[in-house]
Amino acid sequence: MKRVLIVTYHSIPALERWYRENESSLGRHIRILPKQQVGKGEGEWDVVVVIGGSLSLTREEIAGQCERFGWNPVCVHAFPLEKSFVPHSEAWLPRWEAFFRNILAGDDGIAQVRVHRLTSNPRVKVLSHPETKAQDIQEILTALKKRNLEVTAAEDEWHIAREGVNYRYVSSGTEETVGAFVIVPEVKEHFSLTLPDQVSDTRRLVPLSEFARSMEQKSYRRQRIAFLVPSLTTPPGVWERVFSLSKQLCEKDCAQVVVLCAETVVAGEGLEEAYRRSRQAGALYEKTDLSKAVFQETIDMRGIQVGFRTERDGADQTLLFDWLVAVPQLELVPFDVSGCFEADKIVLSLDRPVNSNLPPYALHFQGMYLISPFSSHSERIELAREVERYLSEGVIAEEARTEVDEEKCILCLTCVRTCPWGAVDVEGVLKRSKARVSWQTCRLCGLCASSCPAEAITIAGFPTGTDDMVPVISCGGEVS
Amino acid sequence: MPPVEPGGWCSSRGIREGGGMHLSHDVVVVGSGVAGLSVARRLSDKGLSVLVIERTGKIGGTAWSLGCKATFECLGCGICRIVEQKRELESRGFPGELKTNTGIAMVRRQGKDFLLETDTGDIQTRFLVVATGIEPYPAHNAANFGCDIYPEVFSGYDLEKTLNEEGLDRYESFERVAFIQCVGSRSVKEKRGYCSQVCCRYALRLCENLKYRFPHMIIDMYYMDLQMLGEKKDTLARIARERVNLFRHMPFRVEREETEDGFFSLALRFEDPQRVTRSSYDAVVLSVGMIASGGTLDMARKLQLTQDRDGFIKNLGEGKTSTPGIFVTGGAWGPTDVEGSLRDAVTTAETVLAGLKEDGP
Repeated sequence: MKRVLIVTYHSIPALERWYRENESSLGRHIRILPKQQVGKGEGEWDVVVVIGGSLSLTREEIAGQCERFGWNPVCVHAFPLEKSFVPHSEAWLPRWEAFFRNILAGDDGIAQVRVHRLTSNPRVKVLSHPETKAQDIQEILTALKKRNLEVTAAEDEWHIAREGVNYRYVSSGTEETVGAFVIVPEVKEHFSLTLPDQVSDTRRLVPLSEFARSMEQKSYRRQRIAFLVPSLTTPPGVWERVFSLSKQLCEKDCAQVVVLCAETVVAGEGLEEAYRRSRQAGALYEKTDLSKAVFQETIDMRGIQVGFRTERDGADQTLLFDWLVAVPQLELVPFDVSGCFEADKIVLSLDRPVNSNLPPYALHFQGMYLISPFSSHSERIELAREVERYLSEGVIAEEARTEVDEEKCILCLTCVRTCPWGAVDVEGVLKRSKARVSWQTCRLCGLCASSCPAEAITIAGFPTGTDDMVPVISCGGEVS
Repeated sequence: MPPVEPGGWCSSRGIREGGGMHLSHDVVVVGSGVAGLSVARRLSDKGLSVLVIERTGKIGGTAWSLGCKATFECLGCGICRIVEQKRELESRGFPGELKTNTGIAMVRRQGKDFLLETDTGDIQTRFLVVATGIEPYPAHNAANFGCDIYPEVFSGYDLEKTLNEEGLDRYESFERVAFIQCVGSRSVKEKRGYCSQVCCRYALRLCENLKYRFPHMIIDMYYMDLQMLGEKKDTLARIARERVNLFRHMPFRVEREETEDGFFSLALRFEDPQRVTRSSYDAVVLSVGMIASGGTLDMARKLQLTQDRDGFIKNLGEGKTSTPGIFVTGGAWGPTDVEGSLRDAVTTAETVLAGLKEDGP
């Protein structure tokens, strides 16, 4: 059994009480001695811990003691009790315990970090852009409600602030604690091709949705119509519409339909079939680079001539069309969060990050999920399952982790100078930089936390401060 | 929970077997591919007794033989989800029970239940989930491309398997490589008038991987239409633009001929006289599409399920088939990728659970 000596500079009743309570679980031969009673000839100690006010705990002091009592300097650890030294209070005990267990763990070669589970508030909010279709939101809401989640749609204007593992949601009417968010970004139709103004002035260039609507009222009998699909990544749903519209135009209205595109998308259930049907009906599919096509309106402004080079045989063609249909590409508009997070200056974006280690739909913020309004039914079910899993499993929080609050850090470099293990570094650029504590090298001595003038460094899971004890993690849910 | 042996993932146990007594399960999953295992996991998590039947001696199906195609960046091929699944199997054991080397001879109805007559005994079950999946189109069927005849003609699936097993280093010596897309799909004549949805993407990722390893390689791709779907489509579009030479032109034959210096090279022949009629390559890769696997066709026949014209089992929404009590998931009802089959497995598992709830205890 390892022999551990704890040397105190003062009499600390709380420490002795702690020792009596935890004696069995520590599994070491431990002695606590006031400094005055330490003498030579106590035998070999495997670990020596010196507890004292930092003023007297200089390196020279410890070195002197090592020499006097015959300790191996490598085995001597010092626990500073400066700011947090309150002889009869026990508030510093958790930090001491973490420190002490860490030393013992280093002894065994196994790090022992206690973890606990924080469960979030079961409420879910669906944040959406005001222009997103209400039906899509409703379907996402029902998918989540099927999972017995307490879910509501957000108002138009809101603010979020982080609150431990939860978020505080503030809108004009309400203020509540929310465990998870589902974000539905806006989808914008984007037609990447720019046509000359004169061509647009003919009013013969119609977006696809408008064209589909107008087909109910208007006859396109024997008209010449071109669908322009400039984007390579037009989604299959849009293509399905192009296939069905072109087939309908050819068969019912005897129209001449040419689809000018970069690629046709046929990967999808039944799409290849629809593509074939459309071509059988008489629609012509011409693969060409639309950015090099020439558009010229006719003199009577009733038609547009399109000149292009076909990819198939490289021949230049000029065709006259009565209507041009702009087939858009769907783009997700990044969610604008500027001013949404109250008092949080490091929120970069709420976009889906490129990180294959994240669970599906999850963002970098815990409890935030992103789903496209065009998602399929199964995707919505999967999202609901993911949110439910998160809310029921909660977050594993490690006790005893040194964290730097970016808001508070004033970059004074006190911690960098103080840390005996060289675990503190500065990261970031210019005004955005802040101190960073490496969790690998940090030994949780608490020196940086106690010396930080801005009180930006905390050891997570433990109370900090001297006079008024403020818990660092204020979790809304229960701690199990 | 049966022991999972790391070697072949086989387990042979006879806990309740023998004595003429047939086993009874809540759900029998036919096929132990990605989708089948995922369905079994979800259902056994809910406390159902699940049996997975596999015809061969190895679990994992087609997807487990594919390789991760990441270069210095992730190309989003979704193979990591398979690694996840393997890890879960190792850490949590097999979901339910597993019977390998078991073929289903006949299926009979017995009241509400199904009675499966297999090689190793009868199995009674309430529900049947068909997860027999897809298989790559056997490239030697397209005899005009000379796969299995010329040693330098590979199928895309060959490349995938090599990538998974040993890496692509053996292809280093090739300088000019041609990829031929849509082999075995998008052909009405052969009754496969559908797009396999995966071949463009895996071919482009393989191209990027080859080009990344062997920058000297010149890759030409002959294709009909590029299908950019799913995750990282912008990356795929970039690969198509920068890494390969695209030709929208399909060759009709691959021939092998001797060059002047005594080596062999492959020549592609085209029907169209106006364009390239011949070009020679060191190697040709046929991007084979996905077809309904033999197991899928077999199960559809034995269970008398409605099929679509391509041989896949018809999915009437959320995994229901034409017969109540029989569900279909993953590649058995249409070509799909790993992500797609995993997602589908979740949906199907929910449908099965809902069916069980309706059915009563």
